[in-house]
Amino acid sequence: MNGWYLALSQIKRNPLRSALMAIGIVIAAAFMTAVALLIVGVNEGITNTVKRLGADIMVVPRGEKIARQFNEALLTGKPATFYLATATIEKVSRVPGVENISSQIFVETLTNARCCAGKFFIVAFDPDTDFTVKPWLKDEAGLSISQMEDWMIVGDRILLRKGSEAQFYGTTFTVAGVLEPTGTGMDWTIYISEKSLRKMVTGSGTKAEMPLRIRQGDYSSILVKAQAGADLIDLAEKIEQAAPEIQVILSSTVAKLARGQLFATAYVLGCIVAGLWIMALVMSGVIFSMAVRERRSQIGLLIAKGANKNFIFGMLTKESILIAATSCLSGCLMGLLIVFSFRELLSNALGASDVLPTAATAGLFVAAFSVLGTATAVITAIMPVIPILRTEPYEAIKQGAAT
Amino acid sequence: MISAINITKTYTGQDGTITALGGVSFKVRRGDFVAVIGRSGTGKSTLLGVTGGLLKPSSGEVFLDGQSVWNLDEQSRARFRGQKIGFVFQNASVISSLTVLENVVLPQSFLPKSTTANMSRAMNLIESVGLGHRTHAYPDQLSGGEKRRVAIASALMNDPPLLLADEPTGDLDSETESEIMSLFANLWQSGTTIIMVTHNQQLANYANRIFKMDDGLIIESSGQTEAEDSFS
Ligand SMILES: Nc1ncnc2c1ncn2[C@@H]1O[C@H](COP(=O)(O)OP(=O)(O)OP(=O)(O)O)[C@@H](O)[C@H]1O
Ligand SMILES: [Mg+2]
Repeated sequence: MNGWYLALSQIKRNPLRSALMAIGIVIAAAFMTAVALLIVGVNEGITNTVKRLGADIMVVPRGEKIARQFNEALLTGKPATFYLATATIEKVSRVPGVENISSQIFVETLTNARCCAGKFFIVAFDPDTDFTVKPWLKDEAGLSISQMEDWMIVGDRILLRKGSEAQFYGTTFTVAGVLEPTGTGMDWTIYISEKSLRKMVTGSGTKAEMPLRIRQGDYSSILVKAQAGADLIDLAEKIEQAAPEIQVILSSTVAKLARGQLFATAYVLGCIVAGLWIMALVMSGVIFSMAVRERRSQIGLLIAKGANKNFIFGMLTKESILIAATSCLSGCLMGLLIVFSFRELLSNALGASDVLPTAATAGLFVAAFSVLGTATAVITAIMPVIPILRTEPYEAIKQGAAT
Repeated sequence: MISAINITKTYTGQDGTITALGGVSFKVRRGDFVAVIGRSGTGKSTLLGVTGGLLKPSSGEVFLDGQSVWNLDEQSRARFRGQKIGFVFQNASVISSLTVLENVVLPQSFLPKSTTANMSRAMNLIESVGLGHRTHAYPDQLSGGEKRRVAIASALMNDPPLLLADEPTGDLDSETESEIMSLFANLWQSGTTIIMVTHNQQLANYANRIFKMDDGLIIESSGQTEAEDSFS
C-alpha cells in the first residue's frame, strides 16, 4: 500500500469533495484551451491568407469601410460589395512596375440561394488573366471550365461537390472544381467567370426575385502582380497617385488589420481566462486544505503507524496530482472538443475562416496546458497544507476526535 | 524495556501555561502489563504520547530498548515506531478511506524492507477480533466497537513488542469490553508489553502493575519495586 494507493482511496471515498476540487479546474482548463486554440487558429488563418493571396497589391475603391469589408472578405469569405470603373483598371495597368493585373467582381448571394443557407460570397474573375484562384484548383478542372457554359469553382468549405448545381439570381451554375482548403476566406467563396456574371446580371431582371444591379464595366478589385524586384510600397504609392479614386491594400496591411482585431479580442479573453483560472485554483486549493485540515487526525494516525512526514507530504501531493492532472487533461480535451464541434459557429462569430489550428499545434497546446495546469494546481493545493502538517501528530489525533 | 526519566510536558495556550506532566519517571519491564489510571485531565494520554514518540516532551528522556526515542531524527523515529510500537488511541481509530483488511495491513507498508503484504496474518488478526465477515467493509459501515477492534488488529499487524492503548474499551458495552480485554490478556501471555490507560478499576485488574496519576505525576505505582529489581 503505497502513497498512490492511499491517495486514490481518499479520492474514491470522497467523490463529492474530489469533484468539487476538479470542477473549477475542468471549466477553467476547458475555457483556457478553447480560447488559446481559437486565437492561435485565427492567427494561423491570417498567416495563411496573407501567404496565399497570390497578389502583391490589391486595389479597391477608396474608403475605410471598404478596406475593412475587403479584409473581412479575404479572411472569412463574408460577402463584400463595392465597385470601381473600367477606366481605373486601365490606369493601374499602365503604372510602371506592374507586371500583371486581374480584376474581380464581387456579388453576394441572396439568403435563399438554393445551395446554401445564409449569404455567400460570389467572386467573378477572368480565367484568362487570373493568377490567384486557379492555382488552388484541386484537379484538372481547368479542362471542364473551357467546355462548360456556366461553371463555378467552390471553396473547400462550401457544401457543393463537383457536378452539383446551384442557382443564383435565376442562373444555374454547375460545380466544375473545388479548391484546396486554404484556411482563408477562399474556403467560403464561390468563383464564377466574368462572362457568366454579366449574363447573370442581365438575366436577373426577369428571372430573379431581386435584380442584380452591376453596371457593365464595373469591377470590385484589381489584383496586381508586381514585376520581380519591384519595391511594393513605392509601387503602391505610384498606383494611388495614378488613380486617386482607389486605395491600395498590401498583403502586409491585411495581416496587420486582422491581427489588431484579433489581439484586442485575445486580450479580453486572456483576462477572463486568467481570472477563471485563479478562481479555480483558489477554490480547489481551499477545498483541499479544508479536507486536509479535517483529516489531520487520520494523518496523525498514519504517523503513529510508522509513516514519516515525507510520506504524508508525498501522499497528499499525489492526491492533488491525481485530481489536478485528471481535471486539467479532461478540461483541455473538452476545450479542444468544444472548438472542434462549434468550429463553424465560432468561425462565423469571430469572423475567421477557421478557428482550429493544425492538429500538431492543438496537441501541443493540450499537452502543455495539461502539464502547466496540473503543476499550478498542485502547487496551490499543497502550499497551504504545509503548515497544517506541522501540527504534532498526537495533537492532530486528539483534535480530530473533537470534530 | 522502557525507561522514562523526568519527563515534563507543558502546553502554552491562551489561559497561560498548563503543566500536563510535571517530571515523571518510570520503568517498565519487558512483559509487563501496566494499567495507567487516574481522573480525567491528569496527564494519562500525554504520558502515553510522549512514551510512544508521538508527542515531544518539554524535557526529559524516554529510552525504548536502550534507544533514546527523542534523540532520533523524524524519519528514524517513524521507522522505530512502525517496528516497535502499536497504538490504540482513545478516539481517532482507523483510516476511513480504507477497508478493514487494508487498515489492518497498512502498518506493514511503513516497514523499511518492502515485505510482501502478509495477508494471512492480517486475516488471522481480523478473525481474532471477530470481524472475519467484514474484511471488505469500510469504517463508516462499522459500529464504534467494531472500529475499535479494527484499530486493535491494525496496531498488532507488525507484531510490536510494545502496545500502547488509551482507553481501548472506552464507550464499549461490557461484553465487547471483556472480549477485547481477553484479547489483551492473550497478547500479554504471548510476551507483548502493554501499557493501557483506563478509568475502569476492574480493567486495571487485568494488569500486573498499576500507575495511578494525579496532576501530571505518577502518585502511586504498584509492583514498582519488583520492576526495579529486575530492571537492568
Ligand atoms: N493541546 C493542549 N493544549 C493545552 N492543554 C492541553 C493540551 N492537551 C492536553 N492539555 C491539558 O493537559 C492535561 C492532561 O491532558 P491529558 O489528555 O493527558 O489528560 P488525560 O489524563 O488523558 O484525561 P482523560 O482521562 O480525560 O483522557 C489536561 O489538563 C489538558 O487540559
Ligand atoms: Mg486521555
